[in-house]
Amino acid sequence: MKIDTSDTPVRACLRFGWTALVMFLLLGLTLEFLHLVKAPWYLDLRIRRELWVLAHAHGALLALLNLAFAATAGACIADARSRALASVMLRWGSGLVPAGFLLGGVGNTESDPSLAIVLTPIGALMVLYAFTVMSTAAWRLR
Amino acid sequence: MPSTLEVDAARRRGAVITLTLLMLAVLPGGVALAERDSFGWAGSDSCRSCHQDHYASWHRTFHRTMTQEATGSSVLGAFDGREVTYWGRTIRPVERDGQFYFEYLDAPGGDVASVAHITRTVGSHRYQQYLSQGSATGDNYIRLHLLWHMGEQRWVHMNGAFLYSDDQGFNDHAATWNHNCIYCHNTGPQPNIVNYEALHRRLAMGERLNFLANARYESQVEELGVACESCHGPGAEHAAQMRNPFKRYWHAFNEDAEVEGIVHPGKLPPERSAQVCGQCHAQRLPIRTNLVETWLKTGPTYRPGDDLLDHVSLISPDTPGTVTKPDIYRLRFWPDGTPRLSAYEYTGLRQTPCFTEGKATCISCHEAHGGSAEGMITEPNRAGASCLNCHQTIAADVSKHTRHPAESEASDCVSCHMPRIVYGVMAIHRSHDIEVPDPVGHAEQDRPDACSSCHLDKSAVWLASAIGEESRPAADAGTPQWLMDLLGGDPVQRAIAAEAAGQDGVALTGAARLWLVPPLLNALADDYPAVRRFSANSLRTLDEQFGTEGPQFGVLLDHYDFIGDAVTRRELGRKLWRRWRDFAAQRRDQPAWIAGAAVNPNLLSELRAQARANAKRIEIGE
Repeated sequence: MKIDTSDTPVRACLRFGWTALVMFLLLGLTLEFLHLVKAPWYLDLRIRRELWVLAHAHGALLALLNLAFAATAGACIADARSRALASVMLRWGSGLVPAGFLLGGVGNTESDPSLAIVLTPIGALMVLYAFTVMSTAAWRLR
Repeated sequence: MPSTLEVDAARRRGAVITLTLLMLAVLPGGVALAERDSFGWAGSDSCRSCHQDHYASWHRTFHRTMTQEATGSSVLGAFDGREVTYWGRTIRPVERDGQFYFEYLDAPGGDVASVAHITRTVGSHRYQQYLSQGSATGDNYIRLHLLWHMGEQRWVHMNGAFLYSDDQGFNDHAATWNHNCIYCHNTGPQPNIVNYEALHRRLAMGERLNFLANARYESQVEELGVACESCHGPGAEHAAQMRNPFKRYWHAFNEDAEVEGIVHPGKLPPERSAQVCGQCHAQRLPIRTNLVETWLKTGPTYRPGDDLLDHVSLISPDTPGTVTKPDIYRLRFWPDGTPRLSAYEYTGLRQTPCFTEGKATCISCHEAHGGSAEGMITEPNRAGASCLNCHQTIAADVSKHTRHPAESEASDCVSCHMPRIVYGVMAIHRSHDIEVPDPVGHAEQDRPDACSSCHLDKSAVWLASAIGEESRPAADAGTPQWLMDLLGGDPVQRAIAAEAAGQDGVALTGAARLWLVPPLLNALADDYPAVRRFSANSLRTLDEQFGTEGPQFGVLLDHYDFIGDAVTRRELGRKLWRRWRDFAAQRRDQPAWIAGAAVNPNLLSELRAQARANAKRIEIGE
């Protein structure tokens, strides 16, 4: 499978995907370190632990999906404008979803994330748009 | 034939409709399906969804395990089929197919006369009691005859847990859980007596019957054990309201705003805050006679946040007793009104200026959601942080205030101001009537004191002069207060004195502690099991400390059972004395020590006569 790296949206998702993968794997290492040193401000607050683990997992997964987009968008989405818009929405969404989880675990209460959690559903809708575009494009393939 | 464009448009519409339907199916479900009940109790599982950290900190406390269904994980006793015989009856605790039973035998090694199926447990910290719900008692839960002592890992007959003499019957402390333990050891207790009116009719017709013994119940509790709502009040309304995220976030940004439908003990005024604990940690009676029926039917009327004294009368020394037991309540207090049994912590606190003037409450020192499960106190508070918050000038020079080295146990605030003068659950506890030590005054009130509980070899007069003078007072010519309490006091005094001798922090150290042995050997002959037990335990502690430098009682003490057969106990007592005298004979090279090695026989007789005159049944009320 040949990836057209001259195509701007594809190139952007390639860069975003690998960079995000590095960042969120580093986040995973950081969370492991916090376990190693038994940081009470992390371990004792269940909702913070849950949110930061979600940030790490979603960030890494969405990074991989950016790479999948980069690999397949050129073949699926013929229209350049649609492809560009899907790429933007996917990248922004892939940033906002884990950012919402991460920042939701800062200043959180015992029962709820902080208000920064609103970034997550916004980002999720953007990712959903991008996937919907890819999905419909895939169904149109002949 | 539709065109390509028309097909694509149709597919787009289909995709949009499908996605829309999916969203409509999933998103509102979390809102529409939220449980709403009658705005009463909700249960701790409902609290966990939002308060995971508080749930977890509560979950590891002994409050949670106060009452449990009897299962393989909750039952802690040794149900291994080994028989125990006390007060003339033999019981064999056994486990079969994951169920637990007490088999009551007609003789040691004999046939099974009856079986009690254990269905619930009470306690898991110091000891565990067992409840049975049998055919003879209907739905009543009966507290059975044996408890399992966690620290000593042995079975103890309930008679050994109370401050009664050996003159007890086998069944004396088998009790009905439904109108006794249920109130304090569970959340939302509803005894639900079913024959209240019938029993009253029988009494009205002149029948002589024991009302409580004939009562029958179909009891319910919101939750076994002391759970969230015991302290925070019924939480269903709060849980329902807080499912609204806007309300939750509004409260997150307005932390000082009152949260409807739930009580935060830390935000109540000091009196009401302490009363949340006091609803159980203070023995009390319904404030009006007509509330007795309510208590027996639907349970106590108090809810956290209320004024407890609108619902109950706290038991005090002046509370009138019964016709047959006029002193039943007075004996639960020292003559000066200080509580001397456990479950009076709130009562004691109300008497101290720290509470009346300083507004100290239970949670000034204790943390329901923090600290060690042992006493629910954080390490800083255990070291006196909560006291020094107010008494800051003392913090600057602790040693000057305490007249003891700063790093010694004697410089802990509680050592002097919350002395260990309270009996409960087979242990000695700190008084919650925070006070100033007064050796002579307290001796005149015939109660133990912080000073005499540590300086066991000193008289009250000497101790008082030691407090008052800058320099060390002259030699002590008086009889040690501890000795008088141990051998001549009332049962509570004797128990406390016996236990004090085994404490690490007592002022006597090293070989000087050998002086404690003869009085403790005398105390093994006490006719109160609790006194014998503390004496034996203190002797074991001392024996271990002395090692080869001491009498090495060893296996003799191992075989001593404070509620075992009296003949065997007396024989062991004689052997212990022989061992002691052999050891003492070898130490005649130290005449100064040997001079105090035994209790003067005349004094011993006098003290024993005093103890006999002080023979009382101390009704703990549990």
